[in-house]
Amino acid sequence: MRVLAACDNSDDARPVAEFARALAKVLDASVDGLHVQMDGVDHARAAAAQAGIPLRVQGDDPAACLQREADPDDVAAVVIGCHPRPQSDSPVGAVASKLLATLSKPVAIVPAETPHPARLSRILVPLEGTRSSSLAPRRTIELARDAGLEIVLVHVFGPESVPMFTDQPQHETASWAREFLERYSPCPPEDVRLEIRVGEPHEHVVAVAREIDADVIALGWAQELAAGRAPVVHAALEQAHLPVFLIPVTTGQETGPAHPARSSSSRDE
Amino acid sequence: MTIAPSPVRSELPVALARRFEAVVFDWDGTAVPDRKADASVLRGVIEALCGLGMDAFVVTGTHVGNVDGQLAARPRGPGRLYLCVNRGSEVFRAGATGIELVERRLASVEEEAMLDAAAQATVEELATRGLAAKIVSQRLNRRKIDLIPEPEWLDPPKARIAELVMAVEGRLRAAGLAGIAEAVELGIAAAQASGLKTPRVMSDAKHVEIGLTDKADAARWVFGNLWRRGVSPRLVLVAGDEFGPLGGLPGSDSLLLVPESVGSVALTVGAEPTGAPPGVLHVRGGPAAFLAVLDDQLARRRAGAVPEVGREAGWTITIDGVDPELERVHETLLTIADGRIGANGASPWAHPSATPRVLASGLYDGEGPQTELLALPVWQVLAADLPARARLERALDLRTGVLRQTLSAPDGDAATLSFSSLARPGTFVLRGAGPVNLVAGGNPLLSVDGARTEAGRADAATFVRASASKGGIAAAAVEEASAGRLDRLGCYVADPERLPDPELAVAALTDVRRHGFEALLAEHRAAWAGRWEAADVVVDGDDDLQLAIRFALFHLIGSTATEGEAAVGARGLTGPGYRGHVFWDTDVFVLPFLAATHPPAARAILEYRIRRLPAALGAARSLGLAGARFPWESARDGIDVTPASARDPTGKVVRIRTGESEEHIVADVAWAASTYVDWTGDTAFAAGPGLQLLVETARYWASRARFDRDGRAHIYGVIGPDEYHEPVDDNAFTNVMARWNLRKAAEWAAEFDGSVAEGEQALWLDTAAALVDGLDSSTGIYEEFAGFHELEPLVIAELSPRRPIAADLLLGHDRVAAAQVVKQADVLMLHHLVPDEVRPESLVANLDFYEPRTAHGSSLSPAVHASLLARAGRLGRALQLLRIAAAIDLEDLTGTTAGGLHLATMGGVWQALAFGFAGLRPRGETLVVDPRLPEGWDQLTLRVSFRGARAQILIRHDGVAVEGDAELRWEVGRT
Repeated sequence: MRVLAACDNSDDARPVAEFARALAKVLDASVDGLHVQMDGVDHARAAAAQAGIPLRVQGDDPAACLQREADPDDVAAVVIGCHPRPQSDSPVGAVASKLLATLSKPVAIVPAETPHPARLSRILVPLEGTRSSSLAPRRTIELARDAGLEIVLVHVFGPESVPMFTDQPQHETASWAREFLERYSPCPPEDVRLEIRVGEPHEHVVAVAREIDADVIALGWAQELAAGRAPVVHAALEQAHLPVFLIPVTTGQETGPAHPARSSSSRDE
Repeated sequence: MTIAPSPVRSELPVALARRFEAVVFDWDGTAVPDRKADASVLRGVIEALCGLGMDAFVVTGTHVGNVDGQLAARPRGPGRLYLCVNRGSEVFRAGATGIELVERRLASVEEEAMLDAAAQATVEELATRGLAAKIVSQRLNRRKIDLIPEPEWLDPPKARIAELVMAVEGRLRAAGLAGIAEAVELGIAAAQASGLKTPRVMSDAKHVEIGLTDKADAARWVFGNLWRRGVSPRLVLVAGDEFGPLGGLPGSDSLLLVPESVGSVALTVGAEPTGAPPGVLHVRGGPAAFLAVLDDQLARRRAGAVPEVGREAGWTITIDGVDPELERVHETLLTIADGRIGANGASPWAHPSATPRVLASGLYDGEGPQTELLALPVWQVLAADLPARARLERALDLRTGVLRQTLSAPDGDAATLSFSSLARPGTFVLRGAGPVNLVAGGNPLLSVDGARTEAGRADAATFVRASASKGGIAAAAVEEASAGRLDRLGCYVADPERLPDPELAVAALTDVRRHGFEALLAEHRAAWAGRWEAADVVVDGDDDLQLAIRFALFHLIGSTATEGEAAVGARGLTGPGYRGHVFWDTDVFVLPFLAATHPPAARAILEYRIRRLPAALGAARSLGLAGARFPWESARDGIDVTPASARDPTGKVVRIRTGESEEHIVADVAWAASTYVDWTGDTAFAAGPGLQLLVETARYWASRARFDRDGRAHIYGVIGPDEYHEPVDDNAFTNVMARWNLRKAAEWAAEFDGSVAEGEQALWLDTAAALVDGLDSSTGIYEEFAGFHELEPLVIAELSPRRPIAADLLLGHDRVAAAQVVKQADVLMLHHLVPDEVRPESLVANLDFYEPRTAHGSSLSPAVHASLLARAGRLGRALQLLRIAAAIDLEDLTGTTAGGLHLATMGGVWQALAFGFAGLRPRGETLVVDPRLPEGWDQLTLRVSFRGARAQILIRHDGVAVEGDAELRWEVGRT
């Protein structure tokens, strides 16, 4: 298996290369650095050399080239820089944007300001609390566990999903958390940590990432980055200043019932 | 002639291809062709069936001498043989030592005269039509008139029934009558004219019989007997030979199909000249065919067939399939427990989501706040995996506490039946049948990962011992497995003080093994049926709610021991949630149901507290206070095991103050003792350990209260039921409950015991009178605690998108603490528990004020509000909240049902029905009923036990009726 590291000719190339290397270790894969030459190659070569990854250089349309290079089955994931455009609503650059919309494989977006791109020891995975949304990051969590990463899951109760009851918090929270993990985490409850927050998910995911000093945020998503869609993904990309590992939710994954502590409209006032 | 089974077994209808638990059958023409036939083969089969647990009931018009003289069966059990003879007037039981009379309907002198007159009048009326008829016999409670007293038709065999009918009809028509039907009508008219109110008039073609009883009465007795012993009509086979109409009249055996028999399988082996009625299977061949059916039943029992369950509507929880997301919830819902040991309903066939679990009441591991229920070796698991592409269906029969699991797999179907014996707590039984690879024996007791266990074998049994930090459990089990059949039997012996010797479990098992599967099943079913006879609640007009109610009562019964002490944790025996710690849930929410339906269980709950009185005295002493201070969370030793801190749902580590400050538990324990006495009249308890509880809790309050300069007494720094505000001063609930406690203790001390000095009693009463309660006399509203009215006047009902809602999560802890947002019934809890201690007629004012401010963020809240809203006549809203309470576990509204069922909510559901909608309240020796029946309910029926008398209270819109089995004093009044 390979991790494809898209190294451009800017300062962003180095964190991309370093993160790609760290990610490849978790995925038990090799790293394949790729530069699509537009305006020079020196920064890209230097970044690859410093990260200790090989680099191939190609000339072509960058988005098309990356799409083509990422297509083979042995490419497990793509790592690319963020490059947000100044006058754009998109939190990522044009190339990354096209790749995210079309590639049905995980893509890690690495911002230039990532503090420790080579460090990958703690992963934060937000979970909505539905079977369908828990399926996408499942494999990533398992691989992270096998690679010895600390796994922190976060669930945020939004205004509509605040539980009905809290009873005795010294027991209830642990009881609820245990069942939540049994349902939605592929690892035993003892192997992961669950953080619970109340409020707007997109605010709290970023806050928790900072609190726990996460090295990466991993999210399942539906590959729609238009304004107003995927608020958690937007917030992570715009505010977390960390690599964000986006895992497409593929069609054919089963859907399931809603949040275990849902309220039922039939018994609302 | 000897009756032998006809070789028709393979041709039996599909509906008969299962095990039945009882057979009800006609005698002449069904079991025997005539009175002279040799019934020795039949006798052997009946005795063998009874030996394997099947019940048999003969229902016949003839007398016992004829039937027993011919059958002469002497079964040894565990199945029973009853002879229901003389057409519904007598019941005999045939056992190993002979026959004994069970019941006899005796006609009065007047009734005898009326029967004579009716028969004579019928004969005379027939004579006026030119028809000679004769009164041929005067049997018990009936008179028989021969319509065709001709030599040819002296004793016609059943096989000539068609000819007989033609002959009689012809004779009657020749006399100008329409036929047999008109002859019967003449009999009815004569009977009514003679004064008989409900005559039973029927014809067997040859005779008209006028009687006081008929086969329908016998059938009602039979099905009532079976129901009271836990056998559903759906498990019963009814056999006869004359179901179809004869001569325009219903066949005599059609009378067996009474309303109580709905669901049973009816079979005719007769000629049925007009055809078998719809719904009655027709297996031609007379008694030989009937014998073949019995033979088939015998073969099934010998082969270890897995019994069915009744699947009655309103009594069955069914889970179809395995949903990995919800499996732990489903396993918990299907928990079977006997008051001592509880086992969840995990699939016997292993799969990745299965989490089999067994817990014992009062057996804890760990210390301090980490104390939790010990995980026991599990017995529910077979040595086979759940096959791919298999369909699993699980049915929990609430009426009899048995769990049936049926697997449809590519290799064939398999089934298991399991129960935890309510008749012998600590005993478990599992039977399985199916393909060998699915029903294979293995290790009948599996230790849980991480448990401190030792295992071995003794006396052909497998044993496992599991240690707790103090005490432990020994379990022993045996298994007989062969050719796709398995019977597993075991016993647990728990001791909270010392690790039991495995020999104790082995010895218990040896004793149990003597009884065998069938006897154990029969006594377990009967035990459950007995509990339901004393506790059932029926809501006519709301099927969903009905099932939820029974579900709640089932688990309340299963989680509470009835002897010794009952340590009933917040989740009972249904799960490890809340670590098995005992809260006020047990005293206030669970006990009342048991005090009113099965007092020994309520007494056992109180025994738990009584045995921990020394610890409570020590706790008070350590605080420099007198009396007994029971802990907020209690486990093994009665010391407080409330954690001091925890992470709240927002992730913050918060201090948990309930252990320090939620002191109303002290009065709650006293209230539980008083409630028990109110319902039972147990003065020995009240004068003994009950008085101890009341006295020591009163002493606590007397020492806890602080007097101000104005002579008013206060209780500072507590937490009331509304845990959003902590700590507070002068919580109305705490203060008024303390006041009640002090007064009740003084009352009991004066009545029962001279050792409490009058001065101390006076101090209690003075303190009680001085305690502030927050009542605003002008409004009738009690201020929840000092300063509540100064908080932000937030009305959660207007703000929140829905209720119930965890308002502390929605708004944040600090906001709710500074606002008038109430977690659960607090002031209103006073109106629920001690309505005589609050100002009369103040319920509505406090409901109007507090209900909209209540978030119902505790699962305990909805049911209490339902009860109070019902009292206030707000039945629509009451029903809404009752339905929420009833659904809390069935719909996993908390997301934590996987960890155990919410027993307090279940107790609250019963209280809403009993205290709210039915308005039941003990008032001294009288039970007051003050119902509020919702429009959509046709009737509410509750069974209770009050002062030693069992009663069934039937509430309809047009009135209340109470049926009791002893002198019960009751009245309809205001409560």
